[in-house]
Amino acid sequence: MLVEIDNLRVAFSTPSGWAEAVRGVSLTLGREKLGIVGESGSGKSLTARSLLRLLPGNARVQADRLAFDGTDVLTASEKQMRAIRGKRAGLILQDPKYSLNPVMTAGDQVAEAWRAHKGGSKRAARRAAVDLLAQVRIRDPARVAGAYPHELSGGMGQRVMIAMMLAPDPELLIADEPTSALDATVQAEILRLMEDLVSRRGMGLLLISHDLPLVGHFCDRVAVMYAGRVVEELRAGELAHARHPYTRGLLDCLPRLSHPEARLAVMHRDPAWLAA
Amino acid sequence: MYSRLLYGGRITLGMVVAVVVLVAPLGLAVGCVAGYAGGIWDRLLMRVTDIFLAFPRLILALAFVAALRPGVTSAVAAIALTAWPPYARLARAETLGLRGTDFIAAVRLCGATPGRIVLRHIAPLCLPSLIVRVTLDMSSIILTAAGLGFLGMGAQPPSPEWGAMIATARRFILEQWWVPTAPGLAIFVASLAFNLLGDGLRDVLDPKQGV
Amino acid sequence: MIDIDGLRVRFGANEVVHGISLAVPRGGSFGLVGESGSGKSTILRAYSGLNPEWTGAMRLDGAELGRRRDRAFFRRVQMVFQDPYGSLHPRQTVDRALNEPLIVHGLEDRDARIARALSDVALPRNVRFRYPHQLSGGQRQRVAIARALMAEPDVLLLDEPTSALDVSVQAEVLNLLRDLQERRGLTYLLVSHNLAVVAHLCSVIGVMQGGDLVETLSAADLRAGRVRHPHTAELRALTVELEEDTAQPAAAG
Ligand SMILES: Nc1ncnc2c1ncn2[C@@H]1O[C@H](COP(=O)(O)OP(=O)(O)OP(=O)(O)O)[C@@H](O)[C@H]1O
Ligand SMILES: Nc1ncnc2c1ncn2[C@@H]1O[C@H](COP(=O)(O)OP(=O)(O)OP(=O)(O)O)[C@@H](O)[C@H]1O
Ligand SMILES: [Mg+2]
Ligand SMILES: [Mg+2]
Repeated sequence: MLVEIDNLRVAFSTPSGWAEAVRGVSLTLGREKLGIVGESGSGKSLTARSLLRLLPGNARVQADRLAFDGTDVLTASEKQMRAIRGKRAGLILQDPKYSLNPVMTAGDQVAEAWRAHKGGSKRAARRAAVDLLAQVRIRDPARVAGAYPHELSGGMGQRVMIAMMLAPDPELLIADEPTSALDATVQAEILRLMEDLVSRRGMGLLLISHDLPLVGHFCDRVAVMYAGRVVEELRAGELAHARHPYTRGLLDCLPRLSHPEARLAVMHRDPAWLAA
Repeated sequence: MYSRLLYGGRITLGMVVAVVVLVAPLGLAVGCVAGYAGGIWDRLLMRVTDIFLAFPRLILALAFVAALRPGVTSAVAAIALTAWPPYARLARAETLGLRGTDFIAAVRLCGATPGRIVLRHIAPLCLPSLIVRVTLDMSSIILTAAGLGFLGMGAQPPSPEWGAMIATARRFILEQWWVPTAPGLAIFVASLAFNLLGDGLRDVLDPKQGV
Repeated sequence: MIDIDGLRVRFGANEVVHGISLAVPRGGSFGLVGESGSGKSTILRAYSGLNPEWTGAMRLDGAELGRRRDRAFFRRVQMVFQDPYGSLHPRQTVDRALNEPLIVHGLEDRDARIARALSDVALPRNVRFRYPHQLSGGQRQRVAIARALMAEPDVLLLDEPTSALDVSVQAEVLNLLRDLQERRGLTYLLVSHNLAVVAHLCSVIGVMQGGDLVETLSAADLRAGRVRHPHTAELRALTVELEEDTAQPAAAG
């Protein structure tokens, strides 16, 4: 197993004591595509970040087991973690424009990521960077390589971030909302690229998204999170037969091209789901 | 001796505070305006900054004081004149980064005037890094002030400014080494204290730490 | 209400919008979809006056717009940005952000207006004195919408208002936008990459690719698949494919 998570809990210290944001999540991931869906604030990003030990300072992590390819993340030294982060496990962050360095060109940032793990000359890295930008379907990659983050469109920033994470050929890729700003054609292309990495090189993929149809279509398995817990885990094909009312609610409030509705259904949250 | 040292602290530190009060707002204003207005204003203001930046600080201060009358006031003016360019640079760099952001665009869309945007929305964001920079710089301002005093261009000998004290006590350095050493130590301790304060402030004010 | 004619926008030597024309009647809504990087946000920014490097003609309610916009323009036209993480000032509370347009336009009765704006976008009262980093992405976007509504504009330019939101909040925001339109007769120019969202809110849809408006069609035509341009067809096919996976049983349940 590439990733084993058993009973993960993440809490933040607040003036009124510890507030638990992740409340006992258990997941495993092999060389496959696992999707995590759930509403905003349900702890999806925190779960992913704990795996690389990238949590804010005021967070407390507990787990029965939290391991990446056999390495216990909770007890690993900082040096071991550095060898994992970026090189063996890549994390595509949720807010790309915020996460890019505003005073460095897109090309330089990708080139740096590439060089940090592959070495080689600056020139070669620069060429590789343009190449990677082309792979994520950026039109005119040479121009975009010379652009600063504020000169990029929303979707371009997101793709620059993806190119940075793909540079070192990771074994595990955690993608936090990687395609939320992309149109359907580019999104399909990016997903095809990831699919290719999973099937050809045996990469494991953890895809975090709130787009249920997308995750259902693309992943092998889907875990649905609600308020810091996994409330339902199912094979992607069975998504249409989901039983938990929360999952059903997520499906119902989507606008649909094929079925116009005057008003969209909104979710009515049942306090009982918290206990489930 | 001890009382002279304490009293000298008042003069040296007073000079430092005066310089900072003059310099930080000036640098902030020049930098923010240059960064936000861009174009010809930016080029003009930055060339002026470059000119001041090109002179070694102590020498420009010396020349300036020599042209005026040596004394505390002209020393303060001289140091201030040479100390503001780095702050202007810093503020401009920050402003350039902020100018393109969506939240500044949103304020522009409210119909706010450029003056209001710079004053109320951009300057407060430049302030933390400026404050940190100022405290880290205080040691070098102390040194310049003391240097001027030592060379007889700052506070005049009877008044107990630290640099001037070293200068007058230099003659006894072999027989009574502690006389010039005491103000030297005071300079050292004060500089170190400001540096530590700057480090601490950086940790507190760093926006990434968020509160 | 909105009239854009032969708009071209360039950044340095690089032209990113190659002469597009569109018109939105008062109280109507126009949706822009299309390839990422095709210039959708750029059009909105040019119309709102954030980007002075354009040629062509733009009109608001028949009046020609120049390079510089006056304060009256900003009372009538407001914009919601693509990225809710970037569009709120990191050191200002929600209260301060909502106050800004009121102060600039010298409007009275600020407390009542802010309270009403917050309830309009369905935010609880207690977010009023919070900072952006204490809000989730969805809450931030609703603050941004509330800010745009503060000065009671006639026209809203919406840049991907829901792409950072999860689907349950997206449904709430879309319902809200529709209610506001009915209640206040707002005119929308909406950008989104999600065809279903655009079709839900807009009656006319423009499809962009590489800086050109390649097709303009009605929402009904898009739903029915009466499209002419291959890019539109491709976008539609991919959307429908995803929908079908989950559509049937969900509709039954
Ligand atoms: N630094 C922090 N201090 C306190 N609470 C935090 C902090 N970071 C996150 N939280 C809380 O943890 C919870 C889970 O956050 P997380 O970022 O994992 O949500 P998410 O599922 O990724 O949501 P989204 O879809 O909006 O990204 C949220 O309720 C959030 O308020
Ligand atoms: N400030 C700028 N300087 C230079 N080029 C820019 C600037 N802003 C945008 N561009 C370029 O303009 C083009 C169109 O960008 P725009 O943001 O309008 O795209 P978009 O259609 O909104 O895409 P997305 O759906 O990804 O947000 C892109 O190629 C981008 O690199
Ligand atoms: Mg998240
Ligand atoms: Mg855009």
